Amino acid sequence: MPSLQFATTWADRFRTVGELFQMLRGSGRWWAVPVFTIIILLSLVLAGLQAIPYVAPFIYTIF
Amino acid sequence: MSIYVLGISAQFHDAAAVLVRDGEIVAAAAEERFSRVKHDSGLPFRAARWCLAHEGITVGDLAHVVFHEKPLRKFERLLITQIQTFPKSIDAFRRTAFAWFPDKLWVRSSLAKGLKIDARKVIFSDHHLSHAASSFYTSPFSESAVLTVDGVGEWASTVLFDATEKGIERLAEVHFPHSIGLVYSAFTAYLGFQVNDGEAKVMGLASYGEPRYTDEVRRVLRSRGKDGFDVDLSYVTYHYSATKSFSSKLETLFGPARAPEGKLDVTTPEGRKYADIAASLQVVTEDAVVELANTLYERTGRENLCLAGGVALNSVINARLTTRTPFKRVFVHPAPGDDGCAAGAALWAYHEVEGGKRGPALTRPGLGASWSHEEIGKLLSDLETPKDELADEDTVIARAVDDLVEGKAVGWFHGRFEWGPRSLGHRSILADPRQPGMNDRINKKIKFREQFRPFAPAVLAGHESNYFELAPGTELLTPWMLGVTPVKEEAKSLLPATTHVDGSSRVQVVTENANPLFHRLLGAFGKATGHPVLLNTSFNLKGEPIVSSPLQALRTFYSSELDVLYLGRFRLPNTAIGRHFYA
Repeated sequence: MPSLQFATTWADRFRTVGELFQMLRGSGRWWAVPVFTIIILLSLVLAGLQAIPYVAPFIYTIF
Repeated sequence: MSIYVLGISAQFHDAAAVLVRDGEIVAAAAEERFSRVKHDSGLPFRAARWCLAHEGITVGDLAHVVFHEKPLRKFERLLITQIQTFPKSIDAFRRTAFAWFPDKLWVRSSLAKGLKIDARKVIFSDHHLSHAASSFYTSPFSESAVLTVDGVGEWASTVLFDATEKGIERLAEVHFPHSIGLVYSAFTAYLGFQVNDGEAKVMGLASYGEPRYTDEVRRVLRSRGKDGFDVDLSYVTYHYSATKSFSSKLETLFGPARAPEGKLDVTTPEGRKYADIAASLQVVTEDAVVELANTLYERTGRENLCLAGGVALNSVINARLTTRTPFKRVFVHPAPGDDGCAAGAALWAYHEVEGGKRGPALTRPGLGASWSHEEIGKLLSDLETPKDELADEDTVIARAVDDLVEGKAVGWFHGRFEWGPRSLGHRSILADPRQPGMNDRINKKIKFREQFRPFAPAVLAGHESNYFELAPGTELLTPWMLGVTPVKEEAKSLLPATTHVDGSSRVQVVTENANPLFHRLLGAFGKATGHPVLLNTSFNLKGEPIVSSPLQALRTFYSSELDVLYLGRFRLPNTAIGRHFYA
């Protein structure tokens, strides 16, 4: 069942993100939570843009 | 009913899978043996599937799949370090983002998907705890101090442990970016070798030099006495760069770095200078490890020391620990690098999560795949390869001894391939060490590697003291070729091909239990020549993983100037027809 596998994979990924923030809280690095959030969102956008063949060369060059 | 645990190491270098049954390693293999990518770092699905198939079980039989480290902590370390070193770290950040977000961060779901296992069965060990467990739980010790010295794990680069039957307790640690392993790698890059591959070359090169630059090296790697060590970060860049590991300040201190993988001639003043720097690095690294071991002894009072981590591949240091510290015996797991973490992760989970009883000590190196006589015969027939089928093992031994005495370089492929980076008589190139020039011939014509690289001797157990000055307490290093020892003065001229320029050898002592056929070969060679010692080096070409399958052995054999190949009970001469088809 591909759709079930997709859902399971994303559930695991959300769990991983949750664990990441829990770990930052546990290690007293509260200050890193907003920084990590921005970095994660930015990286997801960049990774997504890099998947578009016409945009990827510009992203790579800019970065 | 047996408890099975599968350990996995991956995502940095030397990915591996190890299957533990009731506390005993029953199958272990690095992914590179299957993928043929040297130091392959990808998730080791081929090795994992082979482990399960070898034992005849499915993923449903596994109590846990254990990843060797906590990837989230590692990710945290990477990002926090890059934030602290911004903007110099911008390229490293880009690499981190593109490596971690699509792939590395989601290890749990990747393992679950790749192995078709419930994600809840995937658990995580700690990198240095995995190293420590790999050494302690495969040692014969019931209690021991454990020292792990590495590049870096999650945050720690060096950890001091105390291990007993109750478990492994962490006593102290040194954090990244202060790292003996990474400083050694930075010098490896400075000396023109590839990081994570060329460290052994630096060790070999050190023997050609004099330690004239120890004061300069100590400016980079500074002793802090009982508090360990730290690194002057102005000389290194590995904490903010993914592509360069030393700064221009290091070049100001030592002169220009050597061109990467350029020709190195140790007879020239320039070559000697690099050898002197390597020798100085070796001395300073050894002093740092000895200092850590002495601190560990003071804290634990144990007689035994287990070592693990990449720095434990430094066989010169390993063999000096019992003479430079109060420890009576030292043990190093045969795969002390990151591949060994797969073993440690599985053993940790078996003992400390499942509460299993202690398994037996590791005594045999052959934990990988093997091929039957029939399988090899069918392959050779299908390929129409010229061969002699020998009647039995006695004939194999007799013919091999004749070939070796005649001065032939022999490919030796028997049984299960070895666990760890050393060839220990299952996938080996063998030759007569009494013949001067044999080492040069193998370096130049067979392995195509640098002339300064030394070769190791394998000696029949019981005869080692005739040739080598083994330090007391190092007898657990020699089965795994993990200790460098002085060659006795009278033996240096007897074994010219395996005596390094500084009069040392990284000796392997072969017992019948460890490898019965290789033991017999050494015995028969001893009867024929009076010296049961063979040159033993890994069966591979420069830059390639050690061969695992018969087909890979054939390709390597015909790509080199090896004279003869023993593939199980088949003897193959190196013919022009073979070279034409395989090279």
